Amino acid sequence: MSEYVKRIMPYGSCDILETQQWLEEMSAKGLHFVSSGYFFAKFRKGEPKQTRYRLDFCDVIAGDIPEEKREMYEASGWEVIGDYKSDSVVVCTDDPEAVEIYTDAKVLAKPMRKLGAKHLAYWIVVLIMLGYVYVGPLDEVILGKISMVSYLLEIGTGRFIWTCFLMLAMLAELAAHFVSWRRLKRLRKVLAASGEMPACKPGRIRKAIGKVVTPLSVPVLILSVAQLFVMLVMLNGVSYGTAIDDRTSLPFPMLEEIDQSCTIDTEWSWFAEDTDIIANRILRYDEDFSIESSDEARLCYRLKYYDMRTAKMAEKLYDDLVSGIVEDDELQHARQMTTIYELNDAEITFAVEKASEYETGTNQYMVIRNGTQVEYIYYEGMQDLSDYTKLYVDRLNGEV
Amino acid sequence: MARKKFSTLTEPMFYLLMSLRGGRKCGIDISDYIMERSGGRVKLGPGTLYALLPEFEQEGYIKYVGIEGKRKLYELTPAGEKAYNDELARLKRCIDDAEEAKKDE
Repeated sequence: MSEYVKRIMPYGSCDILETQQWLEEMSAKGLHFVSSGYFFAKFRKGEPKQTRYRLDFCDVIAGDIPEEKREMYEASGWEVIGDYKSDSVVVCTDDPEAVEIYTDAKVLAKPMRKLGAKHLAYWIVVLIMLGYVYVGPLDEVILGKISMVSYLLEIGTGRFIWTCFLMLAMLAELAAHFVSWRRLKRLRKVLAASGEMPACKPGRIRKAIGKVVTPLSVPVLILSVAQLFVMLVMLNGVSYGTAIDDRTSLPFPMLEEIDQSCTIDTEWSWFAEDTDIIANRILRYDEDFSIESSDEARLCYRLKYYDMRTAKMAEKLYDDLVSGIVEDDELQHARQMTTIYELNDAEITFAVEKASEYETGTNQYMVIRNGTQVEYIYYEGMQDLSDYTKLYVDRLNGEV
Repeated sequence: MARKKFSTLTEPMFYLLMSLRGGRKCGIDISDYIMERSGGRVKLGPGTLYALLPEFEQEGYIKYVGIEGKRKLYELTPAGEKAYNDELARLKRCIDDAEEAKKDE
């Protein structure tokens, strides 16, 4: 049987008094603090003892205090055990006569302010970072650059619910740590006024919340990082939706039908189907290819197909995709919106870049809406995409 | 004008300056001196002492003069001597006032 046990630490770095009391309670149960990681504390099993534990957060660098200070503690009857979440050092004594480590607690006010600021800054940065990644282009919705339709399309049903869950969990974490920071601030004011460390009186509810919310930061942080990883993978296009093998009866032409001189580089090919909260069907089809006569250049064909749940949503998505081409053009390309017209009830926008970044092909864009269906095509190659407009529309109408 | 940080010394601060009047000392020696001189009455925790030393140094009351092993040595400065004497005079006046008040009763 192991000599040691691990316990989830129910309190954060700012909960000085609560942590001290918790360590004393554990010691009274025969579990004596040895060390701590970020989430777990290690205890050595032994006889129950009435040990006084104190957290020292002054002069702590990389989870340790200066050697001279350590000597002073030992000379005063205190044993330096180890760090607590790298922010504090745990010291303890079994001697009831040992002088408190801080007899004039006023000197703690300044380091306490630093500890609180560090703690708060950390959680704000976490919230901003994760919030931005999760919420994604919501700022573009607020600024009116895209509609809510496009925003929701980028999230997807399953991921949207999952993201909402994680966001709520992160907000709960932030709220808990903010409360903790507020308590530290109040404690600092009490110290500045009285110079004495008050007794710890954690309410039952406060203690219960602390014991639930603080350990929650473990799964929430792990899941958030996992979510970030998954999103990055998805953004890179490695995985999105379900791969499609059957390529018959598609609502758009494949690359071979557009450009017969191409040699498909299958390493960069992917084709997947998905469904969404506002779209019955989403197809994504990417092919990178080279021209038979010139193997050096790698060109590409990217297509997104959406069958939206309502025609109104399809109209909004169409507008967003068209304005996206225009705005992108204003920023960096000499992109010319040559055609906006209708064909067999379909609404079509075609754009071609005057000066291509590549010598081999021309960058061309086409957005088509037909009822609830919307297609966004990006083609970089030798053909003129507008020659195939009718083919695209016919495929959308299911006529070919 | 900036407010003087230690306009009135607390008892442990006063004993800290007192300890350095006898020559340079490190933190542990200061602690031992205070314990011995006050007969254990004045309590100065190791954390508080370690925090006070750089504050007194910053205030110009003491100065760091070297290192002995891993222990920093400090000695009293003229400003520290003055602060000590001022506080001593203030305490004496307090005692005189208390004595006179007792006579008047």
